This record gives sequence, C-alpha cells and structure tokens, in this order.
Amino acid sequence: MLLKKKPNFIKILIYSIIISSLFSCQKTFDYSVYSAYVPVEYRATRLINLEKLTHKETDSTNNNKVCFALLSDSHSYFDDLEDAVLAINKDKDVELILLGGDITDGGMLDEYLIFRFIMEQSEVPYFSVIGNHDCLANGYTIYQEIYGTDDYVLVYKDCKFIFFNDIVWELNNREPDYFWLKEQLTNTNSEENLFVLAHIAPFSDSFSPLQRYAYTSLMDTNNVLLSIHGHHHQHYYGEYYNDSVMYMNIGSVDKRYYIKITVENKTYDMERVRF
Amino acid sequence: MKKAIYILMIIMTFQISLRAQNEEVKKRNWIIPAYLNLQYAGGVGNYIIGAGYTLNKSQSLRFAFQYGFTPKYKSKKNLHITSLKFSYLPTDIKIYKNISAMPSISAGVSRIFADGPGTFTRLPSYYPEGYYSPNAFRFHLSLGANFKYRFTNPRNIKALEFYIETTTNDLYMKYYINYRKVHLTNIFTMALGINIMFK
Repeated sequence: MLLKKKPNFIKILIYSIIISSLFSCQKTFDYSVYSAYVPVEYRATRLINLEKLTHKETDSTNNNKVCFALLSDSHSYFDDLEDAVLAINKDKDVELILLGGDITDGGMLDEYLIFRFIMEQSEVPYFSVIGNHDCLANGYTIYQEIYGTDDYVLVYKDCKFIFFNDIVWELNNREPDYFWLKEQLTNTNSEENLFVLAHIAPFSDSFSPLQRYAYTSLMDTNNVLLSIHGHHHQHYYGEYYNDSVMYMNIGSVDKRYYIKITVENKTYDMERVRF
Repeated sequence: MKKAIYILMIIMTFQISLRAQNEEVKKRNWIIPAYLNLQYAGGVGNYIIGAGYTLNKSQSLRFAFQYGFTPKYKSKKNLHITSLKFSYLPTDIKIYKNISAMPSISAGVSRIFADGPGTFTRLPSYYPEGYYSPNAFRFHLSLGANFKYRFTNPRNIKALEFYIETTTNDLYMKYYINYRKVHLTNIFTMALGINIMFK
C-alpha cells in the first residue's frame, strides 16, 4: 500500500508543476533580469505626466502659489513608496511630486516597472531626477526609454525646476554637463523661482573639488532658491557653504515622511509630513 | 569577456566531437559531458546551450554549464550569460513502455557579461572599497518535470529528455518580500528544454 501511494504523490507533484508553469506565470517567459527592452506602453511616461501638469495649470485658480511634495531614494522600499503616494493623494494642496532619484535599487527593468506602477496611483503628476543606483546594470538605457532625457527642465506657474544628472562614477567616470546647467540657469526670467534637483549633493564623496566648485558657484551666482538632493538617506536642510544658497537632502522614503514645499511670493515654506 | 564565452563554446564543441571519435571506448572520460542541454528562457538567456554531467549512476544528481544568449531585438542590448546549474531528480516513474517522468529541483548561479560599466564582479578602481556589492551574479531556483524517452537500440544517443520548469531568482524573491502587491504567481516564469543523453 505504501509503495503504491508514493508514485501517486509524485505524479500529482509533476502535474501541479506543469499546471503552475503553464497557467500561473504572469510573465510566461523571462530571458533575463538584465533586459533593457521597455514595452511600448511604458515609454513616454514623462510626456503623459507633462500633459497632466498642463491640465493642472489651466485648472488652477491661484497662479501665484505652487505646492509640491518631495520624495527620494525609494530603492526597493516599494511598500513605503506606495504608502507615501497614498498619503500625498489625501493632501489636496499638493500639485506635483518631485523625486530625488534612486527610484530603483539595481537599475533593473522590473524595478522601474514596479516604481512606475506605484507612481501611477498618484493623482498628481510626478517627475524624477536620475540617481546613481538607476544607472547600474542597463538602468541608464531603461531610464531614457521610459522617461526621456536625463537633463531636463520643467516650468510650472512661476517655478522653474531644473533636473540635472550629476552622476559621475556609474556613468563611466564622466563629467556632468555643467554647460547645460549654466545655460538653463542663465536663461531664466527674473520672476521665476529657481529650484535645482540633482541626485548627489555637492558635499558628497563622489564629487571632485573642481566639480564641487563648478556646481556651488553656479548655484550661488544664479539666485537658486533651493538646491534639492537625494543620495544620503538622512534629511538635511541648511546653508552648507555659507553662501546665499540653501541645500536640502530629502532623505529616503523608508523614513516614512515626505517634504511638502509651498512656494509663494519668492519664498517657500517647508514641512515634513509623516505618514 | 566575449573571449571567455568563445572559449567555453569551443570547449563544448570539442567535447562533443571528442565523444563521437571515442565511440568504441567503454569507459567515459570524465571531461566528456553526459548530455547536451538546450533550453529556452528561464532567466538565464533566451537561447541556452549547455553541457551536462551526472554525478551518480542513477543520474539523479546532475550539474550543467550553460551559456545563454539574448539578442538585441529582445532585450535592447545583446546579453551573454553563463550559468552553473545543479539538479536533483529524486525519482523516475514509468509512464508507458520506455517513457518515464521525473520531478526535479534545481539551484543555480549565473553571471552576466555585459558591455559598459553597469554590471561588475569587481568594482572599478575609482569607487571607494565596498561601495556596491557585485551585481553580475544571480541565484536561481527552479522546480521542473522531466519526461524521458529511452531508445531501445541506442547508438550514440541513449535517451531524450524534455523538461518544463518553473523558475525564479534572488531578485524576484526580494521584490516578493518588499512589495505586498507582488504575488508568488508574479515571480515564477517558465523554461522549456531538451537534454540529449549520450551513451
């Protein structure tokens, strides 16, 4: 009896494996986690968000006030990121979400797609700067496929947000494009509030003294209201170089807060909102 | 990088031709693979070719060296992956005459050879020590079912095995742990393969 029972159990096991292989796999065949092929429906995500932002601007009643939420370094803290997005959805003042980079942990396609899936739940448009972790593996290619260029500018009401890719080591020890940054900073209307988002703060270890000087002097001479960064997972806010520029380190999303900034009359209010 | 892949391929073809020449020799040289493995998908490439070895007489313990290639049109960049896969096939159940079925469990490690500085086993010198852990290695786990057809009068090929596997890797397991909306059905994918068992 015992001998007869054993093969039955194994047969059931084999059948269940076949059935699970055939029917329960959502992605049937997987070639590699390193794949950089982005399905067409996920491309041009930034354009969709830009369209949402344009609608928001035309619908808005107060054109002198801008309120945005800041998040950073979500890596693979997916549950925390989703909780943050749901908390921001409840705050009806927030008009857009800006992310300080490191939206993935290893630059893998699946991480980008999970991040995108979570951010799709947001009622407001979102924009992110590229982080060092986002450039690992084939991440840089995937970022460009999903979101577009890594250096870009966003103008919303009287605020100008400059997203600057300052990654050095992960992009083959390259030089960030300071000439582009200078051009964007100088071609600015005097009424505009300038914000710069770059993942790595100039006081970080991957900046050489020359790169640090280039960045901080551009900030200082162009009246940047706030230089916003990620990378370090702790929050920081202050005049790091004792010049006219305020520097901020957002802090990682697993610390379970988001930064809410309200810009009005050339000044801003900052608030740390726990969720 | 590519050199290593070519060397591996040359060794594999050499081993197969070596086998063909030594048909008369009864005792198998340890370097000659026991089977040729062909696989489709399974997280280690799109098209995979491998050389397999059995570790015991009943062939329940095996390992295979695999090389997987994913072309540019499927993954935007050409991906070359080598892997080492250990399998355990605990039992052999006769289904019909010379056809039998075997469940299998496998564990493997793979290494990607990619262009650019994004994937590495050792960090470039400009990084501080220990800045990142190596990201070119992946660990795989699969459950499968093999169906074996034994030839009655074998000449060169003793048996053919068709297998189907459901497989996952360390990253997918990490996503499963870190995000409540990733379910078990999301982290398993399918692989199909053939083992050509030599005499």
